[in-house]
Amino acid sequence: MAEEAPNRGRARALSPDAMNRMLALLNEDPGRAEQEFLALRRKLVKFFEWRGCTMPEDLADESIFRVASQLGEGLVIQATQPSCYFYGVARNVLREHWDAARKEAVEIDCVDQERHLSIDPDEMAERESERERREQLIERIEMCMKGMPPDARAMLMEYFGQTGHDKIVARNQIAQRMNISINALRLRVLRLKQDLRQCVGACPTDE
Amino acid sequence: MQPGRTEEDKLIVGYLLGDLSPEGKEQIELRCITDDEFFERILVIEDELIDDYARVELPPVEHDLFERNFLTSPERRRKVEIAKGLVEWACRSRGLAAPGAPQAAPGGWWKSVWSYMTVDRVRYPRPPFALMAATMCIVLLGGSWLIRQHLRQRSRFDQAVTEVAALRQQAIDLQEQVGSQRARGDELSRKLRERESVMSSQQPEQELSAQPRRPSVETFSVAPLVRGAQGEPLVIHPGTQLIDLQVSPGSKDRYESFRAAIATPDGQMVWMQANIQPPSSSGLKAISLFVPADALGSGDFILTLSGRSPDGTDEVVTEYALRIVWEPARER
Repeated sequence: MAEEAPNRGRARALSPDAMNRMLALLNEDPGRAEQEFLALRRKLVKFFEWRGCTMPEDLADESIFRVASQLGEGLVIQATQPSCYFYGVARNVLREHWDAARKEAVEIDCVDQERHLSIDPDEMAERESERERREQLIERIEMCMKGMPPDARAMLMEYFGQTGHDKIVARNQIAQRMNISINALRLRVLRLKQDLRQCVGACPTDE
Repeated sequence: MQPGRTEEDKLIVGYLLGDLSPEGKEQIELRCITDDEFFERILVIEDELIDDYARVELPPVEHDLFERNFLTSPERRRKVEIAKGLVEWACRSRGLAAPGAPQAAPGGWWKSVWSYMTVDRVRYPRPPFALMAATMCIVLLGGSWLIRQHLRQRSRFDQAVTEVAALRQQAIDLQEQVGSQRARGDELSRKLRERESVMSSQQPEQELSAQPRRPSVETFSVAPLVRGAQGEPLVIHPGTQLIDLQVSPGSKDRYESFRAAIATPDGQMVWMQANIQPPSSSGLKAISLFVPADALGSGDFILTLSGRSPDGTDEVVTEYALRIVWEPARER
């Protein structure tokens, strides 16, 4: 099912004034306002992702565009937490997105069923090469790990090299050794994994 | 990730797996948009869910929800792939087998079953299911038949053992009966000899020599009184001194002792004996009542057998109708 963001493909023009008003709404300090804008956008992207949208960034941008447009048209937002207003708009965008997706699904259902073959020869071939791709992925991870600080690499190895109860014990030991809380350790691992994903994604592929 | 989950963590997991009410979702989203720490926490839990899925450590329900509601975008599938790769890299680096990775088949009889379940399905397709099902059916049916046969044989054996024990007990009972009958015969002989010696001293020798030799004890087995019926007469020969009436109290185990009384039909008692011991001790089923022959003339009598219960109360066990007929030669 192809995803169609609301108003996608429509010509967009956001005036500098609207953009500035939006940033001022987030924070009076322009430097902090930009940071808050990026954080807010990230949250909106995750919101759409968690709601199962396949193109969450487009929908987050659509939400931001709508708020900024309204501000450019003179709307005054009285909310103590402006992000809540963005959230409200994002929910409307999500609803419109699902309505559009539902209509599209009906149209697809009308298509002759014989055109939707369940046996895909390409998929069979893909399964064949799954193991090889996995090996390539591990090679990339290995490569990215070598670029990490040795203590971070050792920590990830220990963190992910255990299962079940041993995993819990290992995490407690790591946190004690690093003199940080378990939650801080979890956050640190999240950051390292985000870096790792970025690195793996940026690696040249053989495919 | 699952052990030690707080209630809030569970709510977040439910949210991420699409298993939360609309109101619950809204609450989490509003908090997430206004609370940076909470947002980070959701990110951590989301990442750990991916790790747990990659390690095949999610509970079945969450595993299903994860596949149905979470793996909905290529980006997320990519994250799962990387997580699997990371786990495998860490395990290989530590010389361990990664969870979910192909494992060495364990030894033993189920090795082949394990291999069947874990073999690469694309390269080595399973044999037809019907063949497997048929094989399993044969094994199960054969096994159940063998078990049934074994149980049947066991039952027959137990039955035979029971029968042998019963026969053995019967033999013991018979031996006891023979012994007691012999003892009773000896006792009767002794009493008879005593009585004969008494009589011989009282009667003239010529009279004794003129009388035919008759048994001094007549034994009869009497049946309980049946209304409207009259049993065979008990014929007493001249010279009979004792009448042995054998009666069978049915429920002998209920009584400590018995009491026997013989009366005429109009209620006049002619003989009575109390404190008769139940026959169980001797192995006999009947009680012998030795009634002096001279107590009974020709005529009808009623023998009443009463039992004494352990609480001291007497009750009539049964009644017998007796028709005594003395042979004319000795009619008195």
